[in-house]
Amino acid sequence: MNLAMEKTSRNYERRKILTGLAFISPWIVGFFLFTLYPLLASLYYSFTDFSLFGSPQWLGLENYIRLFNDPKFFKSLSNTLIFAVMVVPASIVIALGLAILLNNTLRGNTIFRTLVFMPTVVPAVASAVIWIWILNPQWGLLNGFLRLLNIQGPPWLSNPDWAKPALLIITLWMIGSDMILYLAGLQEIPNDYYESAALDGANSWQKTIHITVPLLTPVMFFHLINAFIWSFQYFSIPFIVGVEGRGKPADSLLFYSIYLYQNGFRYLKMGYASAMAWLLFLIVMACTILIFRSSKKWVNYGN
Amino acid sequence: MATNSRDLFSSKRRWILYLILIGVCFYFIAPLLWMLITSLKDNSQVFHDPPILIPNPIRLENFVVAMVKGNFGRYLLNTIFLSSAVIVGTLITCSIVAYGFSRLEWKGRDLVFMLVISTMLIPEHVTLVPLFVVFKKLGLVGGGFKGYLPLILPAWFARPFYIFMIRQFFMGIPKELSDAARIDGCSEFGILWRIIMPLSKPAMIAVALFSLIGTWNDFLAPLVYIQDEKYFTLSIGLAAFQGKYITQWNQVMAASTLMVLPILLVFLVAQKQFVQGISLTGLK
Repeated sequence: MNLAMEKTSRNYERRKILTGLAFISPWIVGFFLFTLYPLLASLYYSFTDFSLFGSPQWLGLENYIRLFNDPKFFKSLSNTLIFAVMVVPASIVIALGLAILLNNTLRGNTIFRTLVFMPTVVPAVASAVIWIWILNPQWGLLNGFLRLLNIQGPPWLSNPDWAKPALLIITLWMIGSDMILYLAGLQEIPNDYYESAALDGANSWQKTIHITVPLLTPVMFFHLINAFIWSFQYFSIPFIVGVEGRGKPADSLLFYSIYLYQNGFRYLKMGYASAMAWLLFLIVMACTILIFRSSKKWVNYGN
Repeated sequence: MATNSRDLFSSKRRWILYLILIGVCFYFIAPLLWMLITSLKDNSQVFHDPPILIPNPIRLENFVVAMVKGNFGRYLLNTIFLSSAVIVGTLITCSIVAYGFSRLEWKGRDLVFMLVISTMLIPEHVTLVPLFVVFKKLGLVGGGFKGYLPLILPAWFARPFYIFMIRQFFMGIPKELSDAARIDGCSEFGILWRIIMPLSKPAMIAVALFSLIGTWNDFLAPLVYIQDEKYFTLSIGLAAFQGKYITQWNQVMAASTLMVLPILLVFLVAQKQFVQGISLTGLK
């Protein structure tokens, strides 16, 4: 009898698993078709010479060796890293600062929030095109405004030294969605914390540093991972701003994802592009693991 | 509402705060206003120093040029068609999958869900080349409406990000509701369709909005897959138009306005749902 009961309960378990799998089957099929297969195929292609026409020819490690002797590859990698180092900290500080600013009970607050958020729904290509015009050295709005203040504006996107700062200005314009995350985090901090700090005579700067920032470290952690992964895939805006994906001026906007695209879809070096894709995959994985590991030291998970 | 605003209430500090805020908002709003202003100018006003803030005369012709010479009316329809196909697929498949990950209990569920989440970390560029090769071999790259299939199909196989959003929402619905229906002999699919879905309108609206904006914004996939100019989306259409008419800034800005305005209007109308949606994607 015991055996029979065990059997029915095992059947019951199995039925539950089957129902679950049936419900998630669209994802399972999609996972094999659109994630696992291409992931493995690109690993295979990365060891071959493949131009889309004809079948892939085995090369062994040749593509990877060529990558390590390709100055443009290193240029794209260093551009990406330099820009990540500029944009990630800047976006964390500014998104948090804006959230604190807009969390105050000022009149017109919701309007300010809407305005800050609006650029995040503007499509990337449109943002790029609008900003190319604003940053036009001669006729652009920004340099025209600076001239009124008697400042000679820089050449922005037409000079390799100014192109990355210009891109930073464009990128930070779309910071609204990150700000919303911090705003949500701020609203979960109990008011008591600030009240007791005020009793101890803390000013608002001290309260920000000792209460707000530590309690928002989980949001920062989430934001940091997101921003880092994202910065390695940054494509649309530098593609447009760098003139049809050429990384102009002087390769200063040749980012990793853009060079990968060039190899794959301009020169049809699919094998070479796949080697870059797999290196990208490994870099992103390694960075994510590193950030996760470090999180125990600085992220406050409450008691 | 928890804020440390009390000591910011003195009127001097409040004025400083307002000044900072107005400066900040200028940065966020000026580019969009400048787009609109430029789109209404004639050539002599476009290239003027100092910049002219109010166009006079107002020239609507730039929009006509963008529609006729730039074919933006067609691109707009293409993009609406593509977005609709993506949204419908996303809502159907992601709801079903999210149900399996939230309202059903089965061994290994949470482990599989971890896998779903971790696939979000895989950069789009990593899978791009093999997917292109497959779609090319299937004859789906290039002409006609079937050229949209490489962009539509992945949305019909439940993308992880939206599974995650809907699952978050489904988890918040009381368990008792499904238990009662189960006792009445309702099938799991029936529970999803008759009980869970009617309660999930806010999540569905948020997901529809996100995927609308995502499709409107998408550049890489159309760039790779769509080669016939007639089937361009607004994204690649605008990129091509800007490349061709690089000095006609009034026309380029008119074309940009045609791309930005619809999505901005949708956002302003549905702002509340949108912001709620973001909190679904956030922590926890």
